Amino acid sequence: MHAVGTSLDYAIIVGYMIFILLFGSFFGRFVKTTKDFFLAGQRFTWWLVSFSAVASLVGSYSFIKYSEAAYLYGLSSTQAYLNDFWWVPIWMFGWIPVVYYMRVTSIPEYMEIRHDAKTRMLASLFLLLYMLMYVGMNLYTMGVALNALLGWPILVAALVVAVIVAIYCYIGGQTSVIMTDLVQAVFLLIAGITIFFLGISKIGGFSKFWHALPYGHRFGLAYFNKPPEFNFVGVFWQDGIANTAAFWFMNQGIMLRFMSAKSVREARKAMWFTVLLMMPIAAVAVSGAGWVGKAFSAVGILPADVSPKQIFVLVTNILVGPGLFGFIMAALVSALMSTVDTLVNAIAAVWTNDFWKRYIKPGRDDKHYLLVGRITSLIVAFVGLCLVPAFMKSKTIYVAHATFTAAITPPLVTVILLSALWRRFTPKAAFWTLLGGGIAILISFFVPDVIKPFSHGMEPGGHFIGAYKYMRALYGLVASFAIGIIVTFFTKPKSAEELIGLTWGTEKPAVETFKEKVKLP
Amino acid sequence: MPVPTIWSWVYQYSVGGAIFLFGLYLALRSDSPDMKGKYRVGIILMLIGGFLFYALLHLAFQTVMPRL
Repeated sequence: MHAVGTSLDYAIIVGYMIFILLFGSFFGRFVKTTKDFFLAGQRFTWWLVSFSAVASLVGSYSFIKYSEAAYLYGLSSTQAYLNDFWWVPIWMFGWIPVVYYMRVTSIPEYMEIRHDAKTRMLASLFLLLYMLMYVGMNLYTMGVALNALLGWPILVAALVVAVIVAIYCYIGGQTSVIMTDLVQAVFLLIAGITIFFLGISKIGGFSKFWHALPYGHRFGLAYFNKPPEFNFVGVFWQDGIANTAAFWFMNQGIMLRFMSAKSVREARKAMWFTVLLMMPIAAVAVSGAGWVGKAFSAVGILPADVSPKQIFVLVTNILVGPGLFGFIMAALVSALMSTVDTLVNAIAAVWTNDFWKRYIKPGRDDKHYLLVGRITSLIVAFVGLCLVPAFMKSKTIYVAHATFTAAITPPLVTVILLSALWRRFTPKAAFWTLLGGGIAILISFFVPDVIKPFSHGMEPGGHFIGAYKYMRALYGLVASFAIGIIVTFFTKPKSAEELIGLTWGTEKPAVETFKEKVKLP
Repeated sequence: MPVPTIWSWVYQYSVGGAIFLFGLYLALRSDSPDMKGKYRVGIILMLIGGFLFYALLHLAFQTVMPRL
């Protein structure tokens, strides 16, 4: 595809990047300690945390990926955005009080306090690898998007974005991440919603738009178990259960966002607001172009054989002129940066706290760890950039990434949930759940038939790693929970005193024991 | 592509509902020091309201809306 931007669009995109760089760097003046760098001084109000979380939620590829799904499958493309609410009470009362009151800054740190050093090490490795791959993939997808839209070479586009993110993460840490995300969340939501309403207006109103959509496209949830590429039960287990739990309970960036809230109450408010109000808006923003594109195809504005992958670009091109097109592209850039900056800061937190402080240079002053955190931010952006050529060689990067995340999330999610909610859950069980769960999923790559009993009648849709891609999550969760529960009953749990503040139901003694740590509303 | 049915909704809000009810149990039994008085009642109602909002929204888009 040739570049479709004009000089005015380029100017808007470059101007936006400079603005974000200066805006993010401005907050460096508020960073004096590692607490400021990673937790933004725990001074933010709920709405700021909420906007920031939404900006991270909407990844660089969201517009293109969800527009494609919306074009192909209709309103059910929103399923992944609207299937989080059942996790909210567990998160509010079983998870956030634990991490907030104990002031843990990473999942591995929690794993050591709750269990032991072995479990911490294993969890750290899983988490670091997962997030580093994610940074690389985000930079790559952004490179692909900018290449298709503006004609920039993939590596150059990825390099420009990586440099900007690295600089303001180095200077401002989590404060910069939150403040720039606030701007970017508003920016990208407005862009997506604008495209949707411009499309409806062009087609002649909502009624005409609705009737132009095929009947099967008007349902909020897809058909139960067909086709294997996109169906209700697959998305439910892979996204609604495993990935949603991973996002809210395991995602380091999201965890740091909510811990930067002023209090547990503010964090709860932010969560409720995000899931109930912000995510439906975000769902429409990222899917709108696909629905409009389908309606355009039905009435002849677009050809019927249009490529679903290009639908976001094609619809945007039809609906907006020079200038506004630059605005939309800047929204795409902002979506990438808000995802990558979260990951960069999160990896810096894990590396500094879980490896450097723990194993390499323990006992140094806070200034030393602040510098390590900053330098790590630069290195992470560089390593992410180095992964881009590797992703460029692979035609199946999305399958590889989906398979990789499916292999990581079920064991970690299981250990986090059992650790926080079940006092009987033992350190040995946690370790074997991580290891055994990972091995069980690895086996399913070579013998996918082990997933069949969990498939709900779904066809494999591929071979080996490519088979039962969605339902591997359910299989992984069942295997991990089974290992965790069985090993627990044969091993010795920690004493009640050792678990104060670390599991659900111990908030009251935690407040009494850690008075100096706990900040009540 | 087959036309979706109500069974997707029934499955989602049965399994999801079980997870939600477990979370609600944690909320009701929470000994968190800030869970008292009006705040306690308010947050429980907000949770139930949020869950019903999504359940009804999806029900509408699985039954009535497609036929309009």
